[in-house]
Amino acid sequence: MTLTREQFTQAVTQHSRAMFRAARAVLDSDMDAEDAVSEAVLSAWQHRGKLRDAGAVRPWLVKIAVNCARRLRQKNGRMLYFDDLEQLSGGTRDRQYHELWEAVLSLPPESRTVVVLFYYEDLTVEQIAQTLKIPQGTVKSRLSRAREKLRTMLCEEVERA
Amino acid sequence: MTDFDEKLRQMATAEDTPVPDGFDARLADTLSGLPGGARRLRRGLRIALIAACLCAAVVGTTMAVSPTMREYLAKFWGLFLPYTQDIDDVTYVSDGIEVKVISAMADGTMAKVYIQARDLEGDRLYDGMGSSCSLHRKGHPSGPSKPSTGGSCRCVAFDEETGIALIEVYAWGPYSSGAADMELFIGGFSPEEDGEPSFGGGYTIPLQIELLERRAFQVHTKLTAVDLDGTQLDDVVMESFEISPIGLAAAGSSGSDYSHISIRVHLEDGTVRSANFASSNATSYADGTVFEWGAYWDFPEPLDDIDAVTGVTFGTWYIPIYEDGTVGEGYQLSG
Repeated sequence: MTLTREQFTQAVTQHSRAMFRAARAVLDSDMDAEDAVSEAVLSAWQHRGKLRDAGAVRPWLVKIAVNCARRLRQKNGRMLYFDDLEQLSGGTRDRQYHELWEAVLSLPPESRTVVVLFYYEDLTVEQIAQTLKIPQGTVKSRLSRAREKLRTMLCEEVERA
Repeated sequence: MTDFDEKLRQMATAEDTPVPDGFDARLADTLSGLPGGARRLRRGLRIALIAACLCAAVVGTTMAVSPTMREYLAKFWGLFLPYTQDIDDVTYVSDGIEVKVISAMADGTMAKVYIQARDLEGDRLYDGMGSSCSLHRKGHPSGPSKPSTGGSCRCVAFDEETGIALIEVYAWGPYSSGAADMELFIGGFSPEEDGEPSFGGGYTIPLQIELLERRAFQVHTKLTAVDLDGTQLDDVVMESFEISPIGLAAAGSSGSDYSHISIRVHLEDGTVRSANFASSNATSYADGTVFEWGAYWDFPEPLDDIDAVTGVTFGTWYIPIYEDGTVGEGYQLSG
């Protein structure tokens, strides 16, 4: 099957937040993440004939967004944004977060990506390993470290939930 | 999955992810600017065409050649337009991809056709798509003895307004003299430029292309050619060559390499025309005729009067052509 323009537009619009989230998990700024989403949209459009199952359009788009974001990160190198300064200075170390996304953004990029794919996209460890092309053990260890950090950062919110 | 994991997933589901201001508008712009925006056919017409085609791979219908495609054709053919022929053939439909051969040009060795394609069922065609087609003589043998003709197929233009793609199919190889019965195999199309064809193909279109007039000469000449810049080339044994208004073809023994030889055609009014190396191929068979090696040179501008040719220089080796159509002993041009 090949998505028509209407189907493709509908799918991207519906899953744009997931694409942005996945790209932002890899990259360090909203601006770069948006650029990666734009590239991902074009790439997905050009390769839409490869999508075999219309029901799998969301993970397909998210995977493309992750790949575009990783390419952009490689291309740009590690860039330091003003938003990072607070993290580097330790200002957020003991901070309590009320939103999961806010807490996720304070994690290192490697942890952010596995957290987004695991908690937001419901991918399995195996699927995350395939998407990021890393061993499953690495996914598990990153997830474990991130989980402990999130437990501390979201202590009050989780208790409330 | 721990309770903590469950709680995090609940939070993930419940929260909105903040995006930059204007994100949705810019995304909409990106989506509306995607390449290959084919205009959808009216539903009634679409259903009628699809119904007419039923499930068969190929069904003839009639489709006019797009005026925009005519303009593209004039641009691509350029000065060679007078040497082309319009192909007013039926339209073929496969997997909802409508294909029509619209123009062709061929001499005894080179053939080029343009086809237009349109997607009746969606927007699968666009300027960066892959296309797979091949042009060959009717009855082209297959298997181990298959002639090794060369060729290419590529989308050269796409009309966003109509969703019509213009595809150029080029073939190089020996063809029979006189009216040529050709076959155009439509391999199909791919979303990726270099991808395997995945839709709209798998059938053959019969074609009758009137070959351009040409003059053929037998030579059996061993050329120890020295190129114009003084570079020594390997020996070339040429058995024959042929001149048409659009190019010059040479054939010879296996292993001969013509690719670096410059070609100049001498006319009776004293002018000299050069030709550009286009392609070469080895071990080609046609109707039992063996061309063990051959090459083709394009003329940058058409050679309107091939009878006015008085000689050809291969590298610096000049071969005179007489009025009776025979060739003389060749000789090295001095200087």
